[in-house]
Amino acid sequence: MSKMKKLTGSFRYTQWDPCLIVSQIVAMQFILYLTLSLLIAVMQDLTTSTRTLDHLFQYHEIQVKDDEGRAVIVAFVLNAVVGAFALWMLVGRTKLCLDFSCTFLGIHLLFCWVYNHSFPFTFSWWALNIACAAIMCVAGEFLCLRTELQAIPLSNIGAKVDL
Amino acid sequence: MYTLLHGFYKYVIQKDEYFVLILGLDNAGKTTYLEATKTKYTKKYKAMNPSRITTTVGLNIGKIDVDGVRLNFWDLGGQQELQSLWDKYYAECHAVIYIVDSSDRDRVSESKETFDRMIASEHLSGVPLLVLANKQDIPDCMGVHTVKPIFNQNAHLIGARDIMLMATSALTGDGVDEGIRWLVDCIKRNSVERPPRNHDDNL
Repeated sequence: MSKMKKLTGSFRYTQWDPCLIVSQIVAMQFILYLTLSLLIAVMQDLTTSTRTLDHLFQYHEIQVKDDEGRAVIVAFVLNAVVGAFALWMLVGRTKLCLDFSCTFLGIHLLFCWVYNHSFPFTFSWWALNIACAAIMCVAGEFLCLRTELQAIPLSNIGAKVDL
Repeated sequence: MYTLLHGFYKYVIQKDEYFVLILGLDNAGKTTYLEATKTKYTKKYKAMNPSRITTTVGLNIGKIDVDGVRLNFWDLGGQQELQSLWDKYYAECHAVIYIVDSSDRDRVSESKETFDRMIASEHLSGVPLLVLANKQDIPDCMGVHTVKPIFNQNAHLIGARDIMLMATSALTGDGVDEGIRWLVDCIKRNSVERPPRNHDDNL
């Protein structure tokens, strides 16, 4: 770890920083599950169904046949948009948006697998989650790109720089 | 996750990088020696035709992987006017190879003076030094026993460092291998005082 030194100054450091990456992954996961839970709670109130963790992780909950399933789908899609903002604030780098989106998808897959005791072979689960990952990635990249392309202000305007 | 694993992979297979200067008078055979080294240690390397090697203006760069370490060579031009550029490189280098033209008896004293001036620099203190008596393939050249006493005259200037004098022929490739391997051992031993490039704070 001694090779991972922080550079002084405001430019991001060019060394590989595992602590930062792991903490970003953990933070993303926590925040997105928090917002997803809040959204699903709101949806559950709107469709007057009982509050259960099944809506988050159970495979059969994702369907278009009745209001409950549709509410779950809407909550997931809205969560993807919130996820884009989370990406923008926590990660802030266009290059890494796809990476973090796929990581979130992978960890969600693991949690669903454990919760259901079976691997998701249903089309609906995969379609929904890949669509959400795509939305999160593209929207996140758009936000990060806008910030990254802004001009970098130099702190000593007027002072002569010895080149 | 991908950046994490990819960065970890790069970190694990990282090699230490060291910089080696190749110095000497003009026409000593520095660039030919660099080509011979690259031929020996790089697979599928197509060496330049020796007759097409002209005087170096500026420098030539070479990179080889040997003994789990990466060596970057800076082959600086040896002409009188270009020798003022040498000291700019002293602080960053980890070893010096000094090449002497053994067939040129008239210019040996000039080579000795240049060598003394280089040795006296404080930026080169403790740096291992490999002195090569080049062009041994020419029949009427000075051997190691002739060159050694000439360069040993100012032994007190050399100071406490690893130093070796060897006979080589850059055209045939004799003596290149032992010289480089000895140099790598000395660089590794000296890595406490001159750590490899990737441990630097400036990177």
